[in-house]
Amino acid sequence: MTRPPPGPRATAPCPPAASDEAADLIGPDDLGEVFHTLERLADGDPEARAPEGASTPFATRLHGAVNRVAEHLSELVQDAHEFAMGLTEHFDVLQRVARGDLSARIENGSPVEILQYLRRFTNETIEALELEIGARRTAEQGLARLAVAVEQAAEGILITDRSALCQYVNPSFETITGLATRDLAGKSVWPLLRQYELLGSSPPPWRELRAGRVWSGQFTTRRKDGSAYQASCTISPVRDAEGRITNYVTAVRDVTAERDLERRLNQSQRLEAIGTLAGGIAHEFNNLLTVIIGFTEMSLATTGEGGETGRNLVRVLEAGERARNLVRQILTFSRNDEEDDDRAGPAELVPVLRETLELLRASLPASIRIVDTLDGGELVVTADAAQVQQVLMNLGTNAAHAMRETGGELHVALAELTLREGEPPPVHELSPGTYAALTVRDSGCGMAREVRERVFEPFFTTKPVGQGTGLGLAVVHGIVRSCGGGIALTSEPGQGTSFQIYLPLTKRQAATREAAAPRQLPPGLPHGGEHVLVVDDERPIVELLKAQLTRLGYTVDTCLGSREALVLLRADPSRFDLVLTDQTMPDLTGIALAREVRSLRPDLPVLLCTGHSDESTPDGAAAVGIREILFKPLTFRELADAVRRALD
Amino acid sequence: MLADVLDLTGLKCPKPVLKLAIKAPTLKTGDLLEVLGDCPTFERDVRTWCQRMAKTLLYVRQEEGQRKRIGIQF
Repeated sequence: MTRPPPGPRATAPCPPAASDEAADLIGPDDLGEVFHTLERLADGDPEARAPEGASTPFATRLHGAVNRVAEHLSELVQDAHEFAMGLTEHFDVLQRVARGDLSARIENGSPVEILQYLRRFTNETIEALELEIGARRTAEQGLARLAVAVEQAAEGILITDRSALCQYVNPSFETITGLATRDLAGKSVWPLLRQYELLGSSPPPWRELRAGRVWSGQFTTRRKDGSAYQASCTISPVRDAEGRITNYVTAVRDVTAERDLERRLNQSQRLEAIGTLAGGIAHEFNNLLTVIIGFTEMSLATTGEGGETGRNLVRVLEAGERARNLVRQILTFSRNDEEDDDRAGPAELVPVLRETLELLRASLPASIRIVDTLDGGELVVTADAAQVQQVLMNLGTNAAHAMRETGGELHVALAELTLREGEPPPVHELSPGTYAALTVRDSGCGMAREVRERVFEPFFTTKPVGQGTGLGLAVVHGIVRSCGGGIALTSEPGQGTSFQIYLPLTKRQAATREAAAPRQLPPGLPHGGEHVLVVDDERPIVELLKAQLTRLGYTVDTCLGSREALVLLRADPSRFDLVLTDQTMPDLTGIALAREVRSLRPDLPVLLCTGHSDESTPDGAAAVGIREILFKPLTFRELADAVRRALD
Repeated sequence: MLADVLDLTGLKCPKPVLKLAIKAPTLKTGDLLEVLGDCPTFERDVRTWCQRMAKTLLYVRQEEGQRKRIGIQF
């Protein structure tokens, strides 16, 4: 805008004057400046000022007055600008905070005092808010973590209020019990607890829980579908800040499988211990029976079977034979029966089982019907045919006993089972592989749990005294375990019994080995005049063997220890034609002695005589030159035959 | 990209920056806003606002009379 040039300026105060005198007081230019300045101020320009000097004193004073007003106005405008700018800055920061940006702060200072305070308060408020929200977020994250942990816990979690009304159950609780939140929410858990009473377990003592004590225990209860399971449970009261109980939290685990495994392990360990004990006793009895049978046979050879003494000796011999069979059964159970190892398979199952079923049909009463499904194909197992026969005979006899009063059906089925890596085995001892699965099921009286748990123990029987030895199922157990198989049993009182036998299949082709025919003893005992060294640490055995061999014509030297025998042999290895040694001896076992003999004189035959040993396997024995393994107690004929075979 | 034009012609300061402050939350980072005004302190006030709010003043164009067009990058 072009400003008009200033006119002459007044130098004296401006007196009141008439309009025609006004020109003397203020020139038109000065007045123009005043108007122009006022217009700019009115437009909002706080910088507008009238010139300092004017043409008259009056004009100068007027300009000065206008400029003072302009100064005040400018100051007000400046303040208004500062307030406005501070306000916009607060507005910006607060809307950022409202959107969740808690890092927003009023950054710029203001010369206006109240804005300085406002800035401090606003920033402090945001900082406090940030701390509060941060703490709340941390707490929320913690709560969320807890909620996820409870939701995903393997244990079933049930939360109730203090009146046992359900408030929450997690998914695992539903998996274990079949009951979901929708089934239970807002309902009392008492109906759940009443189920414990149905199954004869004690319910958790609510009186104790109400008193604020934690309760842990195990009980049998039912799932929603009615099936029973064993639960391990801990119920804890939850208290508020004042210590009042507000809720109860229950953690439940289904321990059915664990308890079952524990029970099986206990049973297995018990059987193992009994087997070891029975095996040891049987071994001692073997030695005694060897002496009893041997000397009885020798006496009988002298007296003949006629006459009272002869008849008595025959009875002693018969009792000795029965005792020997009993001992063999005990050894079968305790898996120390080397003779059975010697004969171990392979056996083709179907023909053996068919033959055994024929025997069973002939011996079982007509009220028991045998139904068989032997369509397992050509299944060859590493068991001896006689062992398989004994397993089925024993199970069949037991089944018949269970059905003796009402009659019923005996089902025998055979199938092939392939157990792959990672699959749960039907019996926990089984490792992956292929098995023949033999099922023997009866419709008899079944067994209670107490009977089921002890059924494989030797001498455990439910039959009346004199009607059973209690060895039948123990022998079955021993045979199956010695073949590397497993046995499972399912039975309930009144619902029959089912045995599942799993025998490992062999890769070899079907057994060609025929069932061993009973040995036909020659009419006379084989004899000879060779020189035999007898080694055994049991003096009665040594004496018996010496007497028997001497009677057969042999020259016999005896040693009561393997070290002593070794000294004799080293002194003159060619002196003897045969070494007959016991296996279990202090210092040096029979096999170790045979190894020494082989190094001294490889062609000197060795017979190993044993009643109880794990290491005298046929393969191990053959490797050290043992011709044959003889199992105590030996009959006179068995000894005579074996010695002759070794020498010939 | 031009997001909006805010015509503040005729408003005396400090009203234009107060209007600008109210408009600002509706714009996103990167948006371009043009403001028009004819108040003598309009340019100075917008410059100060941009500086304090950390916005970029892109241009100031003189239009007819005292009116100015100012570009602001958000």
